[in-house]
Amino acid sequence: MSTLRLKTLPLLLVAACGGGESSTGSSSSSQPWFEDVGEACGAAVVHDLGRSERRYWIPEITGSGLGLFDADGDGDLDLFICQGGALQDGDPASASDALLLNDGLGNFTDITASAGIEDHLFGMGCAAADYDADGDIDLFVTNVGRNVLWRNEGDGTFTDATEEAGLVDEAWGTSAAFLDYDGDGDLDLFYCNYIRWAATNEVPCNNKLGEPDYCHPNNYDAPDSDRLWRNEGDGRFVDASQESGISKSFGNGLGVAWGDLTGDGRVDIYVANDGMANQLWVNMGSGRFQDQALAKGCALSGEGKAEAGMGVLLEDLDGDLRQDLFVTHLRSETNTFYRSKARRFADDTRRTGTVEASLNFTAFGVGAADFDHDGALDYYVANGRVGDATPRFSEERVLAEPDQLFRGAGDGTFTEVLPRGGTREEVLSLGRGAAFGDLDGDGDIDAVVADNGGPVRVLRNVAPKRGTWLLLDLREADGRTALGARVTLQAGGRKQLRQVQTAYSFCATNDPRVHFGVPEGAQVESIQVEWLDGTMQDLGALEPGRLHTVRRSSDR
Amino acid sequence: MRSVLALLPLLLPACGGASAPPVTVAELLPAGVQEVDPAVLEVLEQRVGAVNRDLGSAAVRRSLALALEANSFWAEAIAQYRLALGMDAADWDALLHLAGCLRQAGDLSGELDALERVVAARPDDRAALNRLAVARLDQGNLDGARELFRTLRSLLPEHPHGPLGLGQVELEAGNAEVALEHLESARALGRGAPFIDFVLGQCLAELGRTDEAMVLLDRGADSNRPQIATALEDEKARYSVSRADRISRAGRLHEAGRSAEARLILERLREQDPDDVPVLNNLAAAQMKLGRQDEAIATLEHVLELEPNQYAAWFNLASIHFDRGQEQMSASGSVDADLIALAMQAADRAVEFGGHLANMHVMRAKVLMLARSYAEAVTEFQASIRLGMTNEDVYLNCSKVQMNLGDQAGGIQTLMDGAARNPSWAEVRIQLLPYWVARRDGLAARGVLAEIEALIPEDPRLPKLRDYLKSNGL
Repeated sequence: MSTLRLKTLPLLLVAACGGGESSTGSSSSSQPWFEDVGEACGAAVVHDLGRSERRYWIPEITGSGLGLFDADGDGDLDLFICQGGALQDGDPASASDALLLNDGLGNFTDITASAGIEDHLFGMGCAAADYDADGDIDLFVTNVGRNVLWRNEGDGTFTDATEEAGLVDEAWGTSAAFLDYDGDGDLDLFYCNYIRWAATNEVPCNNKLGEPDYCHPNNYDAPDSDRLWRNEGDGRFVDASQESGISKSFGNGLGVAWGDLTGDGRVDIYVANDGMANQLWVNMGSGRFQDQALAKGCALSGEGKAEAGMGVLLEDLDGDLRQDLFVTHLRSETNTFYRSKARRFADDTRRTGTVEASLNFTAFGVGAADFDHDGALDYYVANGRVGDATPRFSEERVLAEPDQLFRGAGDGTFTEVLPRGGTREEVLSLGRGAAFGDLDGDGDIDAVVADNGGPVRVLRNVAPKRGTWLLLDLREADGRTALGARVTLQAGGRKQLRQVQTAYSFCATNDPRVHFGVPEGAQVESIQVEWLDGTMQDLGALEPGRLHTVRRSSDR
Repeated sequence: MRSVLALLPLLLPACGGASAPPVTVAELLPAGVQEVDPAVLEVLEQRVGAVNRDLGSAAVRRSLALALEANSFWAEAIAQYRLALGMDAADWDALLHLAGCLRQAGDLSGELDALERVVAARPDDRAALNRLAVARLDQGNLDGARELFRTLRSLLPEHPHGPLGLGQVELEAGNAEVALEHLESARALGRGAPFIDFVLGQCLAELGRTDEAMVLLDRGADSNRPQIATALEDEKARYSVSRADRISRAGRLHEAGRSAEARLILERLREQDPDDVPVLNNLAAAQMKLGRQDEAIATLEHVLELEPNQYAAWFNLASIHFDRGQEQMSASGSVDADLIALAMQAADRAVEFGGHLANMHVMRAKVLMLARSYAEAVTEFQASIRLGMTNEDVYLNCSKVQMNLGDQAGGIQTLMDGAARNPSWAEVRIQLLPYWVARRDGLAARGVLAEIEALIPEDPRLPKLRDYLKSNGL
């Protein structure tokens, strides 16, 4: 690690805060959008599978994820990184999952041990929220095996509250989300399960070259059902999977996003399944859900194929003020854009201009943000193969691929930013979880990407900007993050829609604040919030270039 | 780093001359490949030998490209097709296959360009027209796709490809009503092709006809678009010889009821490797289907010597003993205790090692039924349902046994779970009708009957079911 770089980094960031919002006039493709500062900023964590030798057991190639959340309540995003772990008795212990504190400028310090959050299980993903309404953010971690609920004690430490909360589950959890599905004001928990796997259930598979390789999840023929846990309001959860109908449907669940996808004012849940039809759990009221993905056009590709769903986005990618779905997939499949239409979704990938660019990559983590502040959502995908194939990008890491960054035009079409991934040079890795948020307080969205078997990459946003920004930290009356609230900002006569959400991408938890780019020359004309219960609130024309914290008035 | 671009230097020599340079298999294969299936290697060596004996032959070079394509070496096949086309630029069949490889390699604009050239040269080439139309549709060129699908419809009036494509184009263009006409025409010509059902289902869903749509969408999910074979398909199929390809070909034959052919392929694979567990398991399945139960038992016992926790083998073994038990039961009304013990032992092992799989529990339930342990059988059926069982018969059988044991409510609940599990299941809905009639719930009964009518409109039982409701005043 370079001391010099560590010292200079904050200075660079301060400079960016002062005046980096105006357009440089340069071509976006000639300047990088991201700079990897992983090691320099203190996040020198290498994903540890526990064993160097691969056994071609499917968990080895599936993890892991990571998360951004405010662990110490100081207003910035701290970083949690899932690690691999033992898969059977006798396996060597892996490094612990890691919690790194942010100094507010994007420099991190490992506090895993002092926070008491050491865990050597095979980590997959995480979700963060204040489940017990005590004012600090707790953390739920999914594993291959027992999941763990870490209760934030508010004093810099965490306690394993899994059993106390009744959340004991030995399945293979992946992406998770806190959400209030029953509208009772507390946060319930949903997570995907992948397959019913154990070392004893492993099956041998070979690739087209006849060499041993990782199996497709369907080779195990053991899809699992996902889980929904109802928060009882007293720190305990009750398994509502059966009564809600969630347990009736099976899939190799990997990605989750939620919101009101049917326009009925209730919270629905979308799950991306790997090699099986996706699920759209439509909230029917009274705690019941029904999978309507097939009827709503978002279960399969437009050609009727179950694709290898990994990561998910729920965003208005085409600027029509309706939230679309975007699912990342395996090599030889496109990343699929399900455009939200009047009655249903339709696979409109072919109109995004990204088909060719996505066919050669296996995408996992994904995040959409207006990285260059031009008023249109861009998106970043973390890529990395799950089996050997030719042509290889690297002979040293045969599964490695470059990540990809796509610049949005605001109408649902995108152009790939080169070099791939938006960095000065292509970086080859086995991208898995990717989390997004403003790490260094400079008002643009940075990214953190997990690399299966490699170092975590902290990607500082250095994109040439075409405007300025506005961040909103929306809170309920009791101070908790207003998860699910939707915000419409109008600037320069054009409206942009966002949702307060942390659960998207793959096995990740993300910045709960809402970020807008405000194009150069445009004024913020209005901002309107639709709280989760449907109540509308006009925030007026807030000043851009800063973070606004808005707490909902309690006299609604 | 290696990418498709790295192949460019290989392509350049072909541009200038009438013949291409000699080649070796090692040069052909992607860098870093350590091991290739011996059967594939043999085919490639044969084709390479032929090329080197006749360096000026475009057809021989094309065959090498086909062999590479057949074994998914897309980039390498592209290079060889380009060399072949360098020698014979008018080999439109080669160009058509090059287009397919370009698509597989993610070069969609290259694919489109190649297909445009084929169709320009051979405007009546049905396979090329269909692929180009689909490629144009993929690129969002709706007018261009529409024009070609119309041509295809006039060239192949008895086939669904034209109207199917036209339906997709109109659906994409937002003209669902127009699309519906084309798709219904495609369905009439398509003889039950599930892909057409899927597209028609999308169209009906777009029109808000959700119930009808659901049945078609469910039926058509994960199906393949009907293709038109090229002139080189047969030759390409001969080069598809990897062990994985042969096992999968055997599987397809077995599924299609051609188990004797499947068995021959698998026997040859066993000769090459007598301890190959996936081959042995597949072989046992083919032997069972062909009534060669003793051979199947020997094959499965060998699998279990190699891997005692092979739940698939225990499952199949249990299945053979169960079938024999059922035969005894039919013939004499009873089953030997020894046979039940054998079946039970295998079913127990299947659940012990494969308890995470629904089918294992079903097998154990069936054996328990044979042993007249009905309550335990219900428990196993329910375990399989909890694990996502997708076979309607399991729900029906479980429900029947529950009711026979006096658990009417449990039996009804199982049927309801089945109806909720799959919108295409008609039988569970038929079994549910008496429940709604007994409750005098006309709305629910008529709703279920409407679902049954949509699912099996030609079923001869329908008039009786309608009468049943009428006679009960519903």
